[in-house]
Amino acid sequence: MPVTEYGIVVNLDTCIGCRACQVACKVWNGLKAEETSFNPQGYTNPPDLTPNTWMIMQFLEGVEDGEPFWLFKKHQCLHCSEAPCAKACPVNAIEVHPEGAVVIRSDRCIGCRYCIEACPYNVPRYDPKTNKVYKCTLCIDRIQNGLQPACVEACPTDALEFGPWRELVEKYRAAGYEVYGDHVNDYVGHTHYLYVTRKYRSLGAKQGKKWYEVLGLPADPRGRLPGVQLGREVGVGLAALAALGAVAHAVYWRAKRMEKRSGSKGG
Amino acid sequence: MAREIRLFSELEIWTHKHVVHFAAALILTGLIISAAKLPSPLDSFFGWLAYALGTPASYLAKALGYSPFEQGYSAYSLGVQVARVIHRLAGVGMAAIGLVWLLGELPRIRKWQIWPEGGLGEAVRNLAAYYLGRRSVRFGKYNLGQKLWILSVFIGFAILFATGMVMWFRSSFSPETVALAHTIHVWAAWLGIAGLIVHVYLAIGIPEHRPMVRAIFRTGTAPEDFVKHHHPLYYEKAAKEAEEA
Repeated sequence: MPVTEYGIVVNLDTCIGCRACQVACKVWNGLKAEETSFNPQGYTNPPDLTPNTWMIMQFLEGVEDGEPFWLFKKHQCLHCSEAPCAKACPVNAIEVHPEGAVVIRSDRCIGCRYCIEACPYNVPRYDPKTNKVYKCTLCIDRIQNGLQPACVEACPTDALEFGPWRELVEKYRAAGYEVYGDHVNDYVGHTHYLYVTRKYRSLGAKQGKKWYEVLGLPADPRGRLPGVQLGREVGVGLAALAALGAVAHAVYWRAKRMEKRSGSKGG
Repeated sequence: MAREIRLFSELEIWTHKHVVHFAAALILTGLIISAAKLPSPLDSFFGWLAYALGTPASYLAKALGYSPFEQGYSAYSLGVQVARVIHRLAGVGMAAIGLVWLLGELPRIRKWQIWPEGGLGEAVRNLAAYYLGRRSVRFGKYNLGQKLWILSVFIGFAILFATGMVMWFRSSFSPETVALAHTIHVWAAWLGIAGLIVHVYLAIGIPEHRPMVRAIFRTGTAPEDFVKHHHPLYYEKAAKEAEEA
């Protein structure tokens, strides 16, 4: 029986920034609380992801058409279908599950941080104490046991919706929502966290930006994996070419030697 | 017994021998580290070597009172981790060897013949005539190809060392710098491997060159006839120096 590919929709129009999802994530994953302090940049707290905080609620403030706006954006791993982090991992510690989750297996992670280089969304976080990297798991342990991810279950306004990925995309597109994540680019593929809005679709238009770019979601996210991968592929080819060249030259050299010998015998 | 001509000093023999050791360690561990991302069948072969390193390491950890599972490593990951440690140590070792060689060679710096004798054009023609025409040509101690190889090894290792250090101490650098260093490191390493295949073939794969292998690894000297035939310019220079002495 084929496994269903799931997704989580983050509806920017109905999110109230209550941080219930942030708390639920901590509780379910048994993550310690951060020591927080006043953040002069805004209400986002902790100000960034850490090895102990796998998702944060970002509070984005700005002015659009002379009107201030205050927008809440859930920030965590987007669980890319192409998962460049998994492609970069030298010990295959990052598993891409058919359900859509991209999960770092701590028993395999060696803390090399190649995944951080490859991630275009700047998500994985390294913990020098354990020499391992951590990030959101999409609650794969809950999904595989028929439960919704903890953050979705905690959301009081249904701004987070969990379900089969394709159905979610079709449902929100049909309802006139703009969707970020159903097809991003060839580097990340599509994402299993989908950001949707009707209300903020013109955000950033005056600056020539798309609404999702204002949110910090790039239109064409690119990490630093291709250069390394190409280096390996070209390198293996070069080494093979060098070996072939050596064999070809050895054959030629031997033929020349035989020619010389027979020439000197004949003379 | 044929007269022997000195080609390499004790320092050169010692340096070359240890460069071989460290280069072998660096290449092998580098391939183990990236095994999972190599095309087939290289991935299986070097992946197996990761297990071959990781399994005894896990037993050793257990014997020392540690549990590899408490440390949170599978045998494969532990193998790659061991390879990373060896890779770093070998890199530092290689740099130390290079430094010893450089300090030892500095007093002789005036004797270095970096630019090919007779100019670049003639050096290229000589190289083609010998390797692609098998004709006798007037090489010095090193031909253009050998000079370029030595220079590439020197510059290439400096690049590998610098980028390796950035990767090792990645917390001290910006993500862009680390990523660039990683990319350059991989490209330079593979260029080095390809160059090394050619170097080893030209030294060992061509029977006429084997006296040079004995010279660089053991004696430092080669038979007079060999030097006269393969390196006439160097032979003449050595003979002239002997006369003056």
